[in-house]
Amino acid sequence: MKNKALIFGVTAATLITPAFADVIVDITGATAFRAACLTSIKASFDAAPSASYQFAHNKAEGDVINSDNSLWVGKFPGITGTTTIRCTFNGSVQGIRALVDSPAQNPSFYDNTNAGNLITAASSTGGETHKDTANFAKAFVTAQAEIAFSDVAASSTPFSAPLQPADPAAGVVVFTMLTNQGSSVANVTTQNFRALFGLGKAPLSQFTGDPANSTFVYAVGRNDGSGTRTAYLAETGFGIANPVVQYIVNEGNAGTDENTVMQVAPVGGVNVPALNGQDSRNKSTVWGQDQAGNGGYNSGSGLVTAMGRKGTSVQILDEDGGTIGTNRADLVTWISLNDAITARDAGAVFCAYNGYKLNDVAVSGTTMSAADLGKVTHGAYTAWSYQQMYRRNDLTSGDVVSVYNTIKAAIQGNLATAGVPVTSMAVSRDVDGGVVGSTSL
Amino acid sequence: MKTPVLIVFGSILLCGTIAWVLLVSARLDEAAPPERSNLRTGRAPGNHPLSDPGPSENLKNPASGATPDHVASLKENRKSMDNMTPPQIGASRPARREGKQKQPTNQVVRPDAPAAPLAIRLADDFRLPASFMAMAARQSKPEATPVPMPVATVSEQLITEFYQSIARELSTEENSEPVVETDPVTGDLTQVVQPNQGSERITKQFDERYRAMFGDTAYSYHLIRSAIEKTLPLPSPSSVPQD
Repeated sequence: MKNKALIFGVTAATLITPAFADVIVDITGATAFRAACLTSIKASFDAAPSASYQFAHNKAEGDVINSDNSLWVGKFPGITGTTTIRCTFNGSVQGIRALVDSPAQNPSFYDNTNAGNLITAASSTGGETHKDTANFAKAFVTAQAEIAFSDVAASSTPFSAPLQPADPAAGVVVFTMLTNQGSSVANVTTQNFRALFGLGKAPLSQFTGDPANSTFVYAVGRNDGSGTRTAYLAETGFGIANPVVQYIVNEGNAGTDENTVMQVAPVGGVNVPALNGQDSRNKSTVWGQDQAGNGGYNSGSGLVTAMGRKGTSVQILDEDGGTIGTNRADLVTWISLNDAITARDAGAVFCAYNGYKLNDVAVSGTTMSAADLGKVTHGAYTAWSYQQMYRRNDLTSGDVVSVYNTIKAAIQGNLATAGVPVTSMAVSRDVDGGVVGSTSL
Repeated sequence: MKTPVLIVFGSILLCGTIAWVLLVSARLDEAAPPERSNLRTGRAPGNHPLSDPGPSENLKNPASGATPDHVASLKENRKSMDNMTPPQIGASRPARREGKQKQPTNQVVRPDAPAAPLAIRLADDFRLPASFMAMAARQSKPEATPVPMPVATVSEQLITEFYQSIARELSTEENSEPVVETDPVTGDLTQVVQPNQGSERITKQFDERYRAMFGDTAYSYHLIRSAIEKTLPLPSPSSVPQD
């Protein structure tokens, strides 16, 4: 009888004792919803009762929403213990890969155990440390991510292992065709795009219809770890797994705002010896096709810089570094709306896609106008994909799922120009690049 | 006096349990025949090959943020997926029909089809997804340039996932009577998938996935081949060579 009482007492005590489990949530993947995600994380921490948290990141103070790496520690709504969120945004396909292939593809996150990562944070009301703070310690640790954002579905990658949840769409990410400063390309059709990215260049007259335009337009874009690239190859019918021919701008002149040297993306990303501006991270590795032309920019920022410049007289190199000629070189790419707006501020020009252009975004650069939104939500403009917010397949309940749900719900109100809430869409598609059909039929 | 009775009773219980387990295993083996070389035949798996690897308590060490060891098992799962063999494809349509001509299928309607996963076969008038035609074309040209491993993996995955989707669809078709046939060679039971609204929707979805993955040109080519394959007239008995 005594034993029974003892067992009962211990069991009751175990059940009554509150759980103060701390949790670490690592987030990685696409950059398209980075600002929306980080804004949502901050808003969630702010909303916690007696908010108390610290955060650090790699951008200037006040610009955490554009950071590549960030670390958040404190009280999160609905979580009893301390919640640590670590973010590293490294691309859609790479993000999915990180969820399913650990430890080989573990991303690097700010190390939360290194006190130096949060040196100036206030203890009670929250605080911010950033890269400009003296002695800011940027120690990193690798770990398998719990959550990954992606511009495309996992089924559009070679890493289609099961992930959670059943409906991961956190919004719709909008893209646009973009040409560089000084270019007269105004509209890009699906046919234009396939011709351009199949050979790497196409006559300007093919885009303008003016026989006098005898110069060439060149294809520029991302490497195959990018969801943006996956989206444009699916949407245009080129084929995600098919190799392309793309150029990379190696050198430019900030003073004259001109691109000066560009090259067919070389095997491995660099020649031997390496030329100025080359980067081994530009090679394509996801589809096992590291071949000439199939590489591309490993991040959107380099592409944005090139698109903001003119191409009045550019030295064109082949994949081996040999000079083909020095000519006028207009560029065309497909890029997320956020990056396009940044490039436009530097001089790039929005193009129409199959005759439809996001006019007002090109003018205002803030939020999408009702007219532009209507083109997306009602199917006239199809340069979009679902922004997927995946969880690891083994995470079906618990604190990580709570954090996931809180962030996903908050994102809907923090999209800005990044995209459109799924609930606003009057059309849908089953797969990336698939047929866009009305949801009311 | 009580002890010997208990021992005897326990032995009977144990033997009965072992016999029951062996019987169930044998039935499962019988209901899960080996994959066959047929363009239209595949396995309707009971479980996804990459299902939840274990307990959901895969939280990181709160202090260090280190990933627990058992999470790495996902990688092993990934490897096993890479090694997974999709239904073998390559038998041409005439050859398949020739086989049927020689040994007619014993087709029966079984409302009480067994719950264990059956192999499934697409009916003769079922339009094959473009990915099937592409795989068959590739296997018929062994001298062709090998495709990179990720591309080959995705091609096989499209076929595996198609069969999984069809199997799920079949399990939801509560009002229909499944058509189950006995394989004339092995005697295994195979469920025949008839074209209907649900299966056509799945076929279209996988066609869209194939188009996104391999482009319009390849998609159009294989879609036409698929349509032709479906509408080809059955060879008359006199035209089939006899042994």
